[in-house]
Order: sequence, then structure tokens, then C-alpha cells
Amino acid sequence: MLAHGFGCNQQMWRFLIPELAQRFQLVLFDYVGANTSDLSAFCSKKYAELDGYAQDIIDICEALDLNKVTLVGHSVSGMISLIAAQKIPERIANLVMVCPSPCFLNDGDDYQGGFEHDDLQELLDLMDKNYIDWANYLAPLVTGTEAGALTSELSESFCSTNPITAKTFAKATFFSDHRSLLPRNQHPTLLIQSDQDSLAAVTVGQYMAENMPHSQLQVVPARGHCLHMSHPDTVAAVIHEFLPAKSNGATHELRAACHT
Amino acid sequence: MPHVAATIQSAIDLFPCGLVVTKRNERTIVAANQHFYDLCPLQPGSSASISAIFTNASRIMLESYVMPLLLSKQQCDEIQLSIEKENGERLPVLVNARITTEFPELIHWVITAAKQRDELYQELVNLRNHLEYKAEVFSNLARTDELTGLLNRRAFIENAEILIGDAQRQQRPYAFFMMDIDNFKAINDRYGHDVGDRVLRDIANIFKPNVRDTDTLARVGGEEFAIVAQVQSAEHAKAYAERLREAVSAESVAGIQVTISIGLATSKQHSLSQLFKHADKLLYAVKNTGKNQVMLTAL
Repeated sequence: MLAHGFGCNQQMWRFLIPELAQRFQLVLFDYVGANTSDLSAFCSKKYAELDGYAQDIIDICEALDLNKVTLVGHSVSGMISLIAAQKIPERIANLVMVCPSPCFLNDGDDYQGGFEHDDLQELLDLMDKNYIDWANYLAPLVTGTEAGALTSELSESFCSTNPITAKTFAKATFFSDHRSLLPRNQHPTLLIQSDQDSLAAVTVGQYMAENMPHSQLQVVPARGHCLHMSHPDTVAAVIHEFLPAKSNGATHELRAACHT
Repeated sequence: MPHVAATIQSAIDLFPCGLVVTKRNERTIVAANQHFYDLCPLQPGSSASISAIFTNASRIMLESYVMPLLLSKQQCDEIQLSIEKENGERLPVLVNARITTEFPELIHWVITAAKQRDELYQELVNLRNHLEYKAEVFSNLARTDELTGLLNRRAFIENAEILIGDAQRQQRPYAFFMMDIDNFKAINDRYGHDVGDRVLRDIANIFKPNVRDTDTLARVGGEEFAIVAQVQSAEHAKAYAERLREAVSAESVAGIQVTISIGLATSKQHSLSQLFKHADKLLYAVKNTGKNQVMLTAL
């Protein structure tokens, strides 16, 4: 199951799909609030925490009765996958995290997540000024600020975002600290990092590998935070190497696009 | 035309916008015009990554929106980011970028200062936030009974319809309580309207802790209060109403002994207006048979 990160939606995976589809059944989905998901299911309280997004993964696993799932999460979805895996361990076989970070905020001298609270405030400000989906910029005023009343007529263009859901996701992503979950990991986990990522430094990957049982770190010589888009063949190669051939079972292709 | 710059190459340095070419993946600078270096902290000839010129927050936007858009659609238009200058000063800029089919390994960027655009958008954001705040204040005002702070009749009907709709879907019984202060006119006549108002406020305050958060309590008329609640059974609803009645009679309100009468209707399928009518009718029956009582009809 491929879980997209903060910013865009499941279309992020399109370069990786050809590399994986021959060997695996792929499940793609959008978190509630992203892309063409059902916005009436958005609840600002639920999605203020990464647990809310993890529940989306759990709901899909249960609705489709998925077992032996390899969860592949980009960026913040690495931690969302970990939360989900700890709640439904019996359904999950492996975790693959592409450019993950357990905490984007700096924590004194002990931990360098890379960002300060002020940076986040500026990010929310920039998001306000970048409504890519300008048509809905004033919609919350017209329809009330609660999520139930959100207009669902989002344009379907890639990365178009709803101001309320995107800001909620930004806060959940960049304010949260899930480092305490790492030692509790019980699934074989592949951490894929680029050696120059301005959102998740190599030291973040090392921190995760050191604190996470059953994990292995692969640092890819590449720059950027969207390795699955910029270097899909490299990412696919390390995933293929990580997942033993015997576990793939069925070789037929089935692609379920879930809009949660 | 002798005064025009001799070649387009040298003219490029004169255009008042930053033009940069970077590698697609590494994003290291391959070429840039002079104005780009005027905008940012880098020196000509630098082979740094273009990400290095932006603030931390801009880098998140760059990685989360700009790069995915570029890699997916080969173009990204009108994204506002901030450049961080050497002295810490922040310069808002507008970024447009392309990946072309002729040079798929390169990104062509146009970066222009956007200080006034930023100020305008800031005003728009402030205005929107202010309007949102005002809308919330007005919405609360329109739904609140000023004297008691409870919901008013309009908000009561809105909430009660939702509660009844939910209960009907779950096939659970629900109850309508119509509650009226006994002899309220006499209190007003004898002690004056100030005391009458105080009685209304105090009674509302007696109700509040005795009503569950999931129930809808409102002042729906002069001395009339109403509750709509999901209940386990008609008997439970009756006990609930008796608790409320006793809570009022147990306290001296504004130094006066006050009681209430309650007409109560329960159902699994009746509409709000039908329940309203039945509860109201019962309330009058109570008034005519001695007050300070609860009368129930299970529809």
C-alpha cells in the first residue's frame, strides 16, 4: 500500500507504479482531505493528529481485508504507517519509509529535526499565500469554517489543495513528535533516505535506524525529498532487494485505487 | 540600433527578473543572470543548490509542492516563496519554473521580487481571518439567547432536527421536554422585571449541570425552556424530567420559591413539530392540574 506524503496526493506514485506493479498488488489512496477524497469525511479534530491519518490506512486494510501488507510511506507517511502498523500489527508484514522523519522540529542539542516553530508559522503563512486552488480560497467564509460544510468541488489538478485540510495536515506533520514510537517497532523496516534532503537530513535517518529495532537504512546518493519521483528506479531497486522474493505470493496484477 | 545591447546574451543581465538554470535532480546552479544574484545571497559562479537561497518554510513548499509539480507536470507557476538574504532579511519572491523536452535534465526558473504582491496577499489573508472571526461571532450571536446564554429558539430547532434525525437513523427513542416556570407572570408583577430576569438566568444555571452535553437545551420563549434528548426509554425520560423539576424546587431562586411544570413526549418516529405540539398540550394540562409536575406521553 502506497501512502502519499504532505503536499500532493496518490499521483505522486505514478513513476514508481510501473516498477512495482509486476510483482505486487498495489493499493493507492488519498488521505481524507487530499485530492478527490470525500471532504465531508474530514473532521478537523481527527486529522489534527497523525493518528487520524493512520486510521485511514487501518480503515482501508480492514475494508479490503488486506493481510501481509507492505506499507510504503513517503515523508510523514512513514510515521503514519508506523502508527497504523502498531495498531493492526497482524495485517502488516513490512514497512518501507521514503525520506521519513519522526519529528521535524529541533529538540535542543539532542535532536535536530531541521525546523523551528517560527518556520512552521511561516509555512502556514506561505500556504495561505499560495492557494494553488484559489477557487476555494474564500469558500470557508461562505460555507462556515467547519469541515462538514466544506465544498467538495476541488479542482482535480495535481497538488491542488484545500486551505483547511492542507493546513491541518501541515500542523499535524510539522508540529508532531513521534520519536517515542520508534523503539516499539516490530516489523522489518526499510528506511530510504537521500544524502541531501533539506527536509529530512541523513542524521535524522541515522537517528531512526539507531532507535528502531528491525530497521535498516539505505542512503541513496541523490538530492531531494521526492526520491520516488526523481529516482523511481533506484527506490524500486532497494524495495525489491528488501522484500524477499518468496513473500510476494501472487504475481497477478491488481491495482485498487481507493478514495477514502 | 546602436544603443541596444549588442547581443541577447548581454541583455539578459539587464532584465529585472532573476533567470536561473539548475540541474533537475541536484538543483545545483548551472547558469544565472545578474539580477538573480542581486536578489539572493549567492555570489556569481556559485554552484550551490537553489534550495539554499530560500527560508526553511520555503524549502518545505519547494519539496512538497514545487518539485512534485515540476517532476510530474514539468511546470510550476506563480508560487510565492521567501529568499533569506545574508543579513537575515526576507524577500518575498514569485517563482515560475519549467522542465523542457529539449533539456529534460535541467530546470529553468524565473524568480521575481514580489514585495507588493506579498503585502496585498497579507491584507487579503488578514481580511479573510477577520471575516471568519466576525462570521463566527455573528453566528454565535444569532444562535444564543442573550439573557440566559442558552441556545435560542432558532438554534434549538436546528440542533433538535439533527438530533432527532440521528436518533431515527439509529432507531433509538428520543424525548421532547417542554418546561415552563410556574406563576412567572405573578413573579414579574410582584418583584419587577429585574427579578424576573434573574429567575430566568438562575433557572437556566440550574438546568445546565443537569443536562448532558449531547442533549439540546434552549430557552424557546418568555419563560419557556425545552430539551430534546436521546433517551433509553419513556421511563428514563420521565425520571430525567423529575430530576430537573426537583432541582428547581430544591433551590430558592432569587430568594423566591420557584417551581416548573414539564410536558414530556417520547417517540421513535415523530417529527419535532409533532412532539412540540404534544408536549405543549401536556404542559397546559399540568398547569390546569396543580403545576410543579411532570406529565408524559409515549407516542
